[in-house]
Amino acid sequence: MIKHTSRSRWNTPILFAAVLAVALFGFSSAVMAQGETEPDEEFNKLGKLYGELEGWAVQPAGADFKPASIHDPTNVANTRLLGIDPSTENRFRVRAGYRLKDNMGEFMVTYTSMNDAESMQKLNPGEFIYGILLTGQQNAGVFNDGLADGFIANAGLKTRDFRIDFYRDAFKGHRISSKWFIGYRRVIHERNMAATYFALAPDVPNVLNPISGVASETLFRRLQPRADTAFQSGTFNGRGLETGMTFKMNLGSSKKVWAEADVSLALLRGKIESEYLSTTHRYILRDTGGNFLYELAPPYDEFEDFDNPGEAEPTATAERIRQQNLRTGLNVQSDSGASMVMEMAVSLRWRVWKNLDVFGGIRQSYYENVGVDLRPRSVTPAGNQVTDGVDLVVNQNDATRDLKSITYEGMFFGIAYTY
Amino acid sequence: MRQMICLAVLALCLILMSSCDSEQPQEIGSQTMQILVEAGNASAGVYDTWEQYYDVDNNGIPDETDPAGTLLPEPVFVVCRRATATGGGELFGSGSTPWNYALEISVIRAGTTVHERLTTTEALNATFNLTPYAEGFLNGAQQPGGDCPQFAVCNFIARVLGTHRLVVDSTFPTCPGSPGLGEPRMSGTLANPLPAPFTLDLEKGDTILVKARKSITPPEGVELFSEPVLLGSVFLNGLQIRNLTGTSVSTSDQAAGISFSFTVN
Repeated sequence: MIKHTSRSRWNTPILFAAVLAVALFGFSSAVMAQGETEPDEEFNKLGKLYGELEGWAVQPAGADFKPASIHDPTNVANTRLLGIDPSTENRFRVRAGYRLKDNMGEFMVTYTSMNDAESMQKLNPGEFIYGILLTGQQNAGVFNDGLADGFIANAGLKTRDFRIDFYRDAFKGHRISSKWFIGYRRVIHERNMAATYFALAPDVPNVLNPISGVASETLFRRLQPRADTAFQSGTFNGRGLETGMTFKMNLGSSKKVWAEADVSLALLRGKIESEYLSTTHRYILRDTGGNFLYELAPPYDEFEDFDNPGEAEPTATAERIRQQNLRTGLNVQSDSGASMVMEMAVSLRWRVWKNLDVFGGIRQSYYENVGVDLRPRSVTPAGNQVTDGVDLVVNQNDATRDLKSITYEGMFFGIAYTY
Repeated sequence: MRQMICLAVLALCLILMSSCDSEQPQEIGSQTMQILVEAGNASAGVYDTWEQYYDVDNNGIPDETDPAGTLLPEPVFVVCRRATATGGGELFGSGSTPWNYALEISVIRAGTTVHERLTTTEALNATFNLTPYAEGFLNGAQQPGGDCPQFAVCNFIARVLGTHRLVVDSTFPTCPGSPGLGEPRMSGTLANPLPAPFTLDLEKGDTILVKARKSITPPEGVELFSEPVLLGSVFLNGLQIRNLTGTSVSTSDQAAGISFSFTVN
C-alpha cells in the first residue's frame, strides 16, 4: 500500500488559469482595438530578436533533507533533527525571444537550471548520539537502537526548467505598462540523499583471541561493525500550461530606467520515479554446521564466550558469529504526479546604450510536489539465510511516499540586447 | 584637513588588513598520549625477601659454591619467605600482576572514519604483551632471622607482594617464580617489543581505541589465588584521563577484556 500524504490541487488552479487567460486576452484585444495603447515605434518593423543572459545567485529552501537527529542523553525531549543546509549557487538563466511586428506580441524561450550538492559530516567516535533516520529501522545501529556515533550524508537537488511563452500587451499607460503571457512549461526535478552511519568506537566485547599463538586478524575484521547505508532518490518530469503577467513602470522622465515585476503560474502533470535502498546489519550465531541458530542481541556477550570453556584450548564462540547485511529496496516507476510552479520577480532595468539593457532584481520560484521521499514503513526479514556474502532480503509490508516542494530564491543580474 | 584624511585612510587600511583574513591558521601542536594496560586486584601471597650469598672466606666477594662445596646456579639469590600474620596464618594481598594479553590500539584521525592500527600484528597474540609487575613495599616486614643459613650473608630487602618482580624473577626454591617473564611490554615486534606504556602523539580530534584481552592461561611462575582484572589507563600530557568511553576495567573472569576509546579535544 502506498500512502500519499499530499493531496492533488489541480481543479481550482486550472480553472483560475483558464479564466485569467481568457480575460486577459479579451481585455488586451479590447484595449488595442480602442487604440488606447501607444504602439512602440520599434515594434512596427519586421520584428526584433531579443536575447537575455542573467546570473542568478540562487539558494534552495524547503528541501527538507534530514539524514539524522541528535540526541541529548540527559534530556530526551531535547532531541533535534539535523538538516543539511543548502548553499547559494551561481546559475545562469537564458532567454531568447522574437517580437512580432506591429506590436502583435512576442515569443519567448526561457531556460534555467539549478544544481545544489551538499554534504554533512558528524563524527564523534564512541558517542552514540546520532539518530539514524534514512535507513530502515530494523537492526539500524550496532546496538539495534537506531543510534550511530557518526555519519556522512550527501544531498543533491537538480532542476531543469524550460518555458516557451507568448507575450502580448495587456495595457500601456504613460508610466505603467503590462503584458500577459501564456505558454508551455517543462520541469525536471531530481532530489537525492545518501547517508552512511558509523559505529566507529562501539563498546562491544572485543574479539581478540585469548588463546596463545592464535592471531585473531580474520575474526577481528569479520566482526568489526559495518556501516549502515541508505540511498534515496526521486525524479519528477512534468509539463503543462502556464500564464502570468509582467508590469513595467518608468522611473524618471528619461525613459531609460524601469522598475519591473513578473508573476507566473504553471500547472504541470508528469511522471515521478523514486528509489530507496537501505542496508543495515545484524550479528547472527551459527551452529557448527553453519546453520542459523539465532540473532545476537546487545551487549553481544557471545563475542567473548567459549564453546568449551573447561578445556585447555577452548574454541572461541566468535568463530561461529557472522555479520549479515539486511537490505531493503523499494522503487516506484512512472507514477503520475501533479505539480504547480509559481514565480515572482521584481527588478530594475537600465538602458545603458542603444538597445543594451542591464538589469538586476530578486526572484522566487516555488515548485510544489516535485520531490519524492519514498520509504518502506514496516518490513519482515525473508527467512534466515546465513550464507557468507549473501544478503538477507527484507520484504516490505507497507511504504510511505511523501511529496516535497522546493523554493528557489535569490538575486539576479544580467544583460539584454534587442536587435 | 588633509592630515585628517590621511589618518582616516590609514586607519581604514589597518582595519581592513587586520579583519578580513578569515583563513585563520590551524591550531598546531600534538599532544603526547600514554596508554597503560595493567592486571590488578589479583590475590597473591605476601613475601619477605632478602639478598643471600655465602662468603666463607670473608673476603667480601660472594662465593660460587655453598659451604659444602656444591656449585651454586648463581652466587647471589633473592630469597623469599611467605609472610605470616601475627596469629600464624599466611598473609595475602592484592595488586598488579604480570599477565599476558592480546592488544590492539588503533586511531581514527580527526575527520576520518578509517581505523589505523598502531600496534603490530604480533600484539594480537595473547602471549605477546605483558602487564607490569607489582611495585612498592609492604609494611610489617620481618628480618630473615633464623631463616638465614649458617655462613650466609642475608641483606634484607623488603616485604613485597608475590607478583613483585623480586619474587617472580627469583630462582630460589622458596620463591614461586623464576620463568623469566622479562620486561613489561606492549606491541612492537618480537625482536624489539615496545616497553609499557605505549606512547604516541595525537592531534586535536583524533580518537584512540584500545582493545585488550587477558590470556586464557596465567603466566608461568606467578602464584595467584584469584584472576586479576584488566585495567586500561590513558594519560594525556601526563594527566590521567578519567572520562574514557567504554569498558576500561574488565571483570575478573577468565579471558576477560577491555575496550574503550578517547577523543582528544
